[in-house]
Amino acid sequence: MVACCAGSVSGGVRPGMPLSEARAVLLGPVGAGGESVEGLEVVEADEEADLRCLAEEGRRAWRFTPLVSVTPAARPGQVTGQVTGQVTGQVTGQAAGQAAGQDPRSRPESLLANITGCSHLFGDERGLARAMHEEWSGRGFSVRVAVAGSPGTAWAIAHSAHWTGQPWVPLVASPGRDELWMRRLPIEALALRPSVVRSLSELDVARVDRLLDLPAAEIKRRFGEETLGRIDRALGRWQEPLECLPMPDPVVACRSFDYPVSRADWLQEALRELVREVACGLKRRGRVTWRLVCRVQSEVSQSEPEWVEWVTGLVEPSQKAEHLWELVSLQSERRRWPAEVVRLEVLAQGVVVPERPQQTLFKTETEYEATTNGGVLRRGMARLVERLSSRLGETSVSRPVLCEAEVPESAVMLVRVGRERSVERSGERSGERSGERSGEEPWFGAVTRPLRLLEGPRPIEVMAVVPEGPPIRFAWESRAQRVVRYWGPERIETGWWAEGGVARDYYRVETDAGEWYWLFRRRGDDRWFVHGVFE
Amino acid sequence: MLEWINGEGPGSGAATLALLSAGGLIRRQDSGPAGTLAVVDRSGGFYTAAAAGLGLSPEGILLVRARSEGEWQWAMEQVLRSPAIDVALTWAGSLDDRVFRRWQLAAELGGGVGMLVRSSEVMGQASWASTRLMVRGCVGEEWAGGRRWRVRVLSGGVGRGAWRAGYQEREVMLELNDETGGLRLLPRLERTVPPGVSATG
Repeated sequence: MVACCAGSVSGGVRPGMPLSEARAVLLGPVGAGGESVEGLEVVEADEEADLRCLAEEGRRAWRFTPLVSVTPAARPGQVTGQVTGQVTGQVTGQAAGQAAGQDPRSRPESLLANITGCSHLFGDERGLARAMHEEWSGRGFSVRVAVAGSPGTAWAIAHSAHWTGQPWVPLVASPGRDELWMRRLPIEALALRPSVVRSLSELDVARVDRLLDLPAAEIKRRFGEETLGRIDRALGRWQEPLECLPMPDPVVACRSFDYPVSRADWLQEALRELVREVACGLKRRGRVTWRLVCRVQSEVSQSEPEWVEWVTGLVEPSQKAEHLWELVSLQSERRRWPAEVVRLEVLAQGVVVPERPQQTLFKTETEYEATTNGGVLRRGMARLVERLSSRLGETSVSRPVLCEAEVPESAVMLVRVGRERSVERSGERSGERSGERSGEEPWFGAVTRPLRLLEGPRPIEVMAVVPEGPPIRFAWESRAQRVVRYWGPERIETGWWAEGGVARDYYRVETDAGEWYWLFRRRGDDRWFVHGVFE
Repeated sequence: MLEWINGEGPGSGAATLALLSAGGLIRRQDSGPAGTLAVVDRSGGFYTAAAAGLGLSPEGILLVRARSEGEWQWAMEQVLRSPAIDVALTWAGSLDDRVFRRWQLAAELGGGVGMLVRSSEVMGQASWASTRLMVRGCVGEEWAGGRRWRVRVLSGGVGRGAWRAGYQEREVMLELNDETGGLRLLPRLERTVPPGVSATG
């Protein structure tokens, strides 16, 4: 038996047992009924299917790093499920039980990921390890993630956590502390031959530190050179090459014209065909895309062909030809085709595995949400944003995020829809520095800020009774305004160290026509400006 | 479709009242998360911080910027047509009758509410809005904080059943409290008391 569920483990079953023994432990002596016994499900191990599944999971890990490796091909009878990786080196995690075998590292249960240079995208190595853990645990996998300086150490830490019964949390070995971690682990972490582990146990060498205290020559003499090699690999003493999963060929479709084409309707039709081809390519591979890039080559002069690039982004990845074409055509409406087009290319970028289809009889929370009103609304919003972004441009559709800034112009940051989470994440990291306060209550009253803030403060002529006093008359858009009431001054001033600092005394004023405006007097030169209208 | 018309200049406060009512419409969905307000803004001056001051969460606001007249009309129609948008708000000067009609049909299809903030110059023009409201700021009244308006129903009905406003109730006075952010309908007695005299005599 190569693997078993957690229920079986609690019943006393261990991977490596003969199946008959497992049956006896769980259900008592077996009758002549054959393989199937009530309450016990026996499934034949399918090593190739496991490897395919693991490789698929490895492609999902491209979200974290492009360098992902699946453990070497396994020999028959060595199957279970795990996921692994590394940081300044790699990361590791694991799932079910284990089977006996020559090299535990060869079981197709781990992913090794070189995350060098990627961790800052998730805050730090811990953030990345946490994100990896959430990626798989959120989809129902039992996974252990460990980060260390070498693949061997990362594998050892992740697996040892299982053996020593540590909680299923991501483990991160700080740079330079790999050997300290290793010394505390059981010798199984070195992925030695089972016979060697047994012999060492008989000699009361249960931990790595005890083994490392033995002379290397003695280890070599008694257990062979291979054992020394495995110890060095686990300790990261030699550079272990990783055979990374190959990146897939780009999903691209292109068309070259024999003669330069300038007719927009012909080009539009050709573009439509290319988008359809790309959609078919995605469907064939079982992938969806986040972005379509349309490249147009025009030949204004023979010597210098000119490339124009249009990018169509999606809020939710898709592979549907009609949907993709709708977005591309919306964008092409606001673009002008260059003259003398000789080549068109459509390239799918951000090609990913779609969300998994339902695998259980009853719907999961996510699936339930997808069929309810909330799910419909979420998809409706995604479609709307995609359409608007395609036609108006990505920067034209945004969600506002409040910032606690002194200067009113900087109090709102516009974030592209779909990027809110990354902004919140960067806000968490930068903490007080950025002063973002997404979703929080504002720090001013209901009527103290104008609904329309002018693009820049506009200078106005103001009459005041006393110098530095409140305004009593002003002219705005060729209309003379008499101030009936005012509130202020509200002083808004940045520190002297701030670049482009301001020093303003703001007044809310009510005119005799019942209108409200937001004026300020610039301290220093006492010039007046209107900055907003309480529409 | 609902029209909020500024009685005087742009600072009369029609957009403020439109946003307050939009906030009420969004929050009314008790069973689920708050809805979404789409603001289709041509000039690019919509100040979300002020909207937040009026009680609208920035997370529930979708901001759409349109550069040209054509893009603006198209964008407004799209947001009105989308079932994911509960309220669509825009500022509209004079508007082609056919565009207005398209918006109205789009709003019916999407099931949301479309709000237009307009100037008093459009008073004589035909409208496809179900309700037209004129907003005038109250000048120089004797109260400390907040803001008061007179809102007049120019066309369409307001309220339901017994609460539906009668002919004599077609103008009401509203007060926005600066400290609490609450909007309240002022009773008739309070409205008729001359400045400087308390309601209790």
